[in-house]
Amino acid sequence: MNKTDRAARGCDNARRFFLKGTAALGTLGALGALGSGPCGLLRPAQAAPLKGGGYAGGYAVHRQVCPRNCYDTCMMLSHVKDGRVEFVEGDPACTFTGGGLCVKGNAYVGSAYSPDRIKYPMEQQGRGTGKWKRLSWDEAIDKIARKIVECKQKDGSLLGVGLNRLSGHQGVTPNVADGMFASMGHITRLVGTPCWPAGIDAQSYDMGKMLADDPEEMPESRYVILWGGNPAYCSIHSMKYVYAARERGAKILCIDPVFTQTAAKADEYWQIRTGTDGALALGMCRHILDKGLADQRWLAANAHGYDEFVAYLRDSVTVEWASQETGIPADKIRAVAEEFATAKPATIWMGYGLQRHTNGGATIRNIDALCAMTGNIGVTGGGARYGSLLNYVFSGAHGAFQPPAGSVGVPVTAPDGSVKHGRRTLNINKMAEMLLTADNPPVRLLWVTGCNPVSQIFDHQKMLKALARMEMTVVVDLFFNQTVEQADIVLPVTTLFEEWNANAGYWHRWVGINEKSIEPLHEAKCQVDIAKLLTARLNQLSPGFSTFPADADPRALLMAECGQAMKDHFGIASMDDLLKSPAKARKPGPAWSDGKYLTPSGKYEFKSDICAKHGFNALPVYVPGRKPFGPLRVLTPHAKFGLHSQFINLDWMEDFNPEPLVYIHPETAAARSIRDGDMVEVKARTGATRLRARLTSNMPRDHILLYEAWFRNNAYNCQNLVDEESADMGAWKTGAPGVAIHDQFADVARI
Amino acid sequence: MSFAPSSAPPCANVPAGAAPGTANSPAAPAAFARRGTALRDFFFAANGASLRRAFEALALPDAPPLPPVAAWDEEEYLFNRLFVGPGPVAVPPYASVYLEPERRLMGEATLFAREAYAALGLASPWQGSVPDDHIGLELDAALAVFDALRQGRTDVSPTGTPRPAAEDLAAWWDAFVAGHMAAWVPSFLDALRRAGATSAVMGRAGDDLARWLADAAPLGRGAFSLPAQPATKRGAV
Repeated sequence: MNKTDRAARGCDNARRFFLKGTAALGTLGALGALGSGPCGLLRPAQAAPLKGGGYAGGYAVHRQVCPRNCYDTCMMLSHVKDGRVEFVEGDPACTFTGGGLCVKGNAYVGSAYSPDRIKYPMEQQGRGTGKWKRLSWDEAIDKIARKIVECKQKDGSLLGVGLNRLSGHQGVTPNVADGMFASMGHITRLVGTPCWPAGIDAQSYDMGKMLADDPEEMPESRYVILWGGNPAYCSIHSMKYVYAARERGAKILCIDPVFTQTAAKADEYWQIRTGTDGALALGMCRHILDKGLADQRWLAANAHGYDEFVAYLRDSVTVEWASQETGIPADKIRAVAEEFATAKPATIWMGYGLQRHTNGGATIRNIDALCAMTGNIGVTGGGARYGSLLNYVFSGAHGAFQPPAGSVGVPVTAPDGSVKHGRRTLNINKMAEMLLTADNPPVRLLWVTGCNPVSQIFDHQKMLKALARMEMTVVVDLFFNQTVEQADIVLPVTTLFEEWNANAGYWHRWVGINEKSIEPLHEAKCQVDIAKLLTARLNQLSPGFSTFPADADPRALLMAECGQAMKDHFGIASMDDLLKSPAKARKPGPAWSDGKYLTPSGKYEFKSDICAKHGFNALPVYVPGRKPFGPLRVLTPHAKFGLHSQFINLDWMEDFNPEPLVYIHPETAAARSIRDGDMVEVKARTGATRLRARLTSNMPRDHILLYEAWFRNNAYNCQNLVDEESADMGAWKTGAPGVAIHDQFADVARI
Repeated sequence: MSFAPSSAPPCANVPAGAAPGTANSPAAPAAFARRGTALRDFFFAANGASLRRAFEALALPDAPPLPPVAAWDEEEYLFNRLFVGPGPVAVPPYASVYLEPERRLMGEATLFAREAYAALGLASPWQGSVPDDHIGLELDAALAVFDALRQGRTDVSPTGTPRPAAEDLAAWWDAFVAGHMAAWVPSFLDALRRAGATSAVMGRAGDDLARWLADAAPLGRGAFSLPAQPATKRGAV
């Protein structure tokens, strides 16, 4: 009998005993032994234990939506009995999720019930010391509220209060952190995102907005290029559409510097020289031009500035040049250009890694141009697929609060001479630099929620210095991490099972509601309740300090997110409809099928005046990448067993992914006397990190790869190797340029 | 029956050969209950002051003197590192972590504890938030039953509410304390010993919990079928 059987048997026998014996035992509560007696904690039972609903097995089934920053934004079902989530599954009502979850989604029960969750408000006696004391919520909130009031007294504004919020907790409910601070006054907000901003701007220059085609229509494609992304890791639900396209005759080409899981599943793989993807796209464009394969009918109806683009191609681009830049043989470029141009419809999926470069936005424009000149935009099964803002039609109820009248912030003089005040914005991708240099006033109190900047934002050593400058750092999170390590106060927040939320896909076209299906474990609170507590204390200390509604109800706020735009977009009468089923956007067909581009010309803009006005080239010309400053390029992409720094800390994941590894080509390793399994140090200008080497010929010889991650029992931090260099584009739509995560260089040595 | 409600001395028929100073000596039931109460409050402590109070209550006549404590703040930090958080905890004080295949809370053991309390007409006021199989809650239930047996208050109440029969309480003890707690608490204590960073305070709390369990296990009716060895995720202890 194994240990599990034994445990189960003992448990089962005794459970039967207790269930049978309930009536016979009577009640100790009747003994009057409570309170003053030995029974100091337990109380007379008030009600029968919670049971499930009317489903098979007695489960109550609740709708959930994964709140992680992921292409797949899975619609999920949780199965609850006795007030306890027993298991989750993909919601079969969402055809995209299709009833299946990834390894991370399946880990949610273990995550919510991990003994390592942050359970109580706690205060650290000296950052990084690990000396933590528990606080009651009232004590914690009081300390924070007093600090906020102090900031206002010192500075005459709330610009000394900084909010650092990112995509670690998605959906509409987490927006309440912004609403909570907006209710107090004009604060300092870290803005932008390290994720996709250069590409958003690029597609906005070309088409007016970032709108990807429905991935569920990908089976209509006759040719699929998976370029600079790894959906086999990062969007597993999309892979079934890639396979479906192939089954119907499409060719799948994967272009990536690394031979990824996705590359392994493609028909053809090109190992491109990193950061030269734009040259490859333009080389293909030139060949298509030379062969007369451009889609003249599409161009006549949809293109603006195509003639100028043609002139640029003729003047500056040859296939041989593209081959030299990219390392891809010219004959292959020619062959695939012809295949792509003639296999109508054909599509390109551009991964976010493509644009995490100093020339990232330019690259996306180069590839968009290839899709456009072959007439593959606005047609079913075509598409320059990157990401989609189509579904973001919530009303914004969680953030829509105004500061008290007369609040002082950053003054802006309007053309009519009137002065308005607003918040101060700092570039999140240079967070360390920004927090070090922000002044008048400095950021005194930093509130971190939905992110782990110490693991995820760049130049780790500088980040530690920047955080040391804070007078108070508050982190709201599920798990201890490297940011909590640098915090003064940590507040436990709810998991998806313990709160109301709604989330919509930025890749697929679905929206779903997330029900509160169990009570919060330990002393975790949802962010609406945290906002109410903080507001109440602030208004006690200083009446009128905040306008946040004292009676805000998490469910009511969620319902208010569904305005007319959302009702129309998804064809629902109210948010409540989503309790019956997740909904898909009603708009049929591919993006831009109506030919009405949101650009100034109303056309697809090969030539964008806005782009030129923003300091870039009007045409999608090739921009060379960042000059190497070390022998090996460092890639730090997404891992399979985590999403950014989340999930990796769960012991369930540790069974498969117990420690960080640096992947090195065997020849590169041999030149440094590194064997598989050796401990090595990777050293860059910004810092160093130590980990174990894994040799693989999947890597280019002049690259190393370390997945971004946070391990609970390991000091590994890949941001030691990544500096704060910006990507070219991104400031237009997200407030700050992207970041050149993949333009980093280092060397590696055995230790 | 171990706990004769009125006529026989408490714990009269604990097996011969039980260790000296355990609950079968005349003064022992009070010490056993006080030790249990102190341990319950120790593992349930929410701050340094309550931790200290609970620890000092372990100073009992039948026990060695308590070790001197240099700095209670340091003990509080250590207590949180071991049992509470916010970081990964080496010694989670919940049964399901040790009894089930996955290292997680709110497992079958949690429902088991909940049902054991319900059988007594009791419930945790934190049901759904504090897992019912927290060591503090389990000790609390055990102490309530021990007290009821020792006081002999097992007749019918004036209001007519049936009170538990001594025989049933003894059977409960067998199932819950000798069966369930004895199956996981040794693993919990083992994790505490292996946690590395520990102190005289944590060591003493662990030793006293081991002693409490050793005293408690033989006190029931001896009628319930139990696993041969305590079983844990980490292996038999």
